[in-house]
Order: sequence, then structure tokens, then C-alpha cells
Amino acid sequence: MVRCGQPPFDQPKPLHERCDEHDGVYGFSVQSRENQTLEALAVWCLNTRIGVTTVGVIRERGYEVVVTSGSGFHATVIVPRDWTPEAARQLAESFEDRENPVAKAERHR
Amino acid sequence: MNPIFADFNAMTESRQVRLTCQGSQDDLRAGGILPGDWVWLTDGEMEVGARVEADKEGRTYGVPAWDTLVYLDPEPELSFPKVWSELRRLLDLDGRTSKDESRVLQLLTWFLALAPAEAKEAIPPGFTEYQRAAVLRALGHYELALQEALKATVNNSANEKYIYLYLELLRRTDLDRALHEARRLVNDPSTGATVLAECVNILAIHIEHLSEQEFDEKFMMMLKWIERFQNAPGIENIRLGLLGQVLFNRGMALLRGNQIQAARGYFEKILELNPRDQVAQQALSLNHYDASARHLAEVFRARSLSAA
Repeated sequence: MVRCGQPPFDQPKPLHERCDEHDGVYGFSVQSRENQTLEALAVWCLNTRIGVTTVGVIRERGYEVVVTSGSGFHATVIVPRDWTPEAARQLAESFEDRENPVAKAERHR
Repeated sequence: MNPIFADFNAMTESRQVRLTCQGSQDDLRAGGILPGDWVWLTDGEMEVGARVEADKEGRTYGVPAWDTLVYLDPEPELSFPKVWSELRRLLDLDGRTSKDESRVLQLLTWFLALAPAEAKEAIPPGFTEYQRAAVLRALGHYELALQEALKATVNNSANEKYIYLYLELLRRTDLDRALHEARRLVNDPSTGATVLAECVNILAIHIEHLSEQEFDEKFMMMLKWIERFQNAPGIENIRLGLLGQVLFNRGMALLRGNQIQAARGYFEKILELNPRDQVAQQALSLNHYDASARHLAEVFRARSLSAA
């Protein structure tokens, strides 16, 4: 799973303020699909830095991930509507900070 | 106008950015932004110009102009001398491509991030905003360009080039407001010839849509504005393109007033300045102010004139 931008995704707005309703579920956006390479997911990120984790890790922390409509391999990590800043910060720690492996010119606009 | 927060993870299939999360909504409300407005979207790492839209359910999203995308943090291998050198080369380049224009926008961003204090102090006030406005105009994003040009004039209200560009962009985006601003500038004795040339142009475009009765009244106003132009500070150094534009606008107004010979006299003056001006050559054969004349006027005014 990839989330575009640099973890912990708290500048200029914290992660809990980046959540929204997607196809009837509430949460934050990621790129995630089974059997896709990191590059195949990251090509949908324009950012230079990306956050990388797995669906397994997210589930271990008590959250669910579902495929929702959007560009590329869009999916939503479901969170409560009253998600707290502290809980958001803790979940953001699950994402490893990496450089986007896809060259700028090849990322999808 | 401050940039609006956008989560670029939340993109629709058509690569529009959803602006429905709390972070975006808070900024949209604070900025009083409505659908149809142009804004800068940012996630703190990148920035892109976008038009705000709303769907049938009232959900807001941004339609990015991707050729305005810039990365806020300079690439690690970049230094100020490298950025400045490439920026100067591109700014001096004639006939820049769209790709070059986007690159200038990126370099201006990195220039501000990397420039030491003494380098920033050496740059005239409004310089970067003016250059950004010029790039955005070249890319056809007039509303975004207008925002930057306004900032340039605020930072340096005495610079004629900045005011000229601001007026030109205002004319392209909102003719009524441009006319209001032109009136104010014409009444200001310190306004120079370069800016007055654009004021005359704005009035000329405005009077095209008027009835015959209204035209007569505004034609007199135009003659007064042209007189102001002819006696304005800086008239001795006015660029030939701008002088030609004033002559053309006067000629077209005379043509509409059925003063055909007088109109031709002004088109001939343009040809004295530039014998290869094809539009002026065609204007010489006009006998009426008709659809062909209006078309010629559009072609003439579509030329991108520089006040530099």
C-alpha cells in the first residue's frame, strides 16, 4: 500500500483532517491492490516522497481497507468519523518514508 | 490569496482533486472561494493552479492546470547558482515553449527557497510575481496570472510594466473591471504612456459592443484618452508595437464613424512604423466597419505585446 506524500502526513494539515467519504465509507485515500508492485502503485503519486506499508499492518492496528473509486488503484483506509488526532498520528507511524521510485516525468498527472 | 490545502491522494478517475476533506473545506471557507474561482492547491510538498468546481451534489473539487505544477522543496543536488543560472538563461530566451514556461515557474519557486538574503535584496520588488504572471499568461491561465500580476503591482506600484500586464490580464478576464481601472489610471497624471496605450485598447474593445449613440459619446472619450497618451510621461520611449496599437484603435474607431479616409491615414502610419504589418495592410482596404473589420481588430489585439 502506498500513500502519496511524506509520512506522517501532518504538514500542513494533520491526517485526520484529510479524511473524507468515499463510496459510502469514511477514511483517507491510498493506492492499494493485491499483487501490484510498489512502482505500479507509486506511479499514481506525483509526490517525491511516499509512505509505504501493507494492508496486513493496517489491519493489525484495527483498521480496514476497501477499494473505492478514484484514480489508479484508489482505496480507502476506513476510520471513525470522530477519529482523534492522536489515533491518526499513531496509524501514520505504520507508513515507511521512502523516495518515490518512479521518475517525475513518468508519474501520472 | 493563500493556497488551499489539497490531498492529492484523493483524486477522481479524471484526475480532479477532491476538496471535500475538512482540511480543504476549512481553507475554502476562510478564503471565501466559490466554484469558478482559480486557486493554488498545495499539500505542503507541491503546488498547482486549479479551477474550483462543484458537482450536482455540491461537492467541491479542483481541476488542476498540470502545467503549473511545482515542487516546493528544491532537489537535493541543486544549489542557488545552478538555479539562478538556468533561470536567467530561460528568462533571456526568445520563443520559449510551454515546457520552458513551466520550468521557469518551477525555477522561480526554487529560486525563492534557495536564494541567500543578499540575493533576494538585490531583486527588485515584484520581480518574481511579475515573472510568474508572465509565465502563467503565456500558458493561457489568465486568472492565475492576474493574481500574480496584482501582487507585483502591490509590491511595486510605480513599475509601468507590472501595471501594464495587470491591466492586460484584467481586460482578458473582466472587461468591466478593466474599464473601471483604466478610467482611474487615465485620471492619474503620473500614469505613463505604456499603461495609457492599454487603457485606450480597453476602451476600444468596450466601445465595439455599444450602440451608435453610445459610440459617439465614447469616441470623444477615446480621443481625449489618446491625447493623454500622446502627452504622457515616457511617450518618447514607447515601444512601436504599443504605438501601432493606439493608431490601429483610433483608425478602427474612425472607420466605425464612417471617416474612411481619416481611418486609412492611421493604418498608413502603422505601415510607416512597420511596413510588413499584414493586418494594417488589410485594414487599408476596408470601406465599412463590418464583420471583416471586427475580425481584423480581433487578430490585431490577439497579438501579445510586451511593455518591456
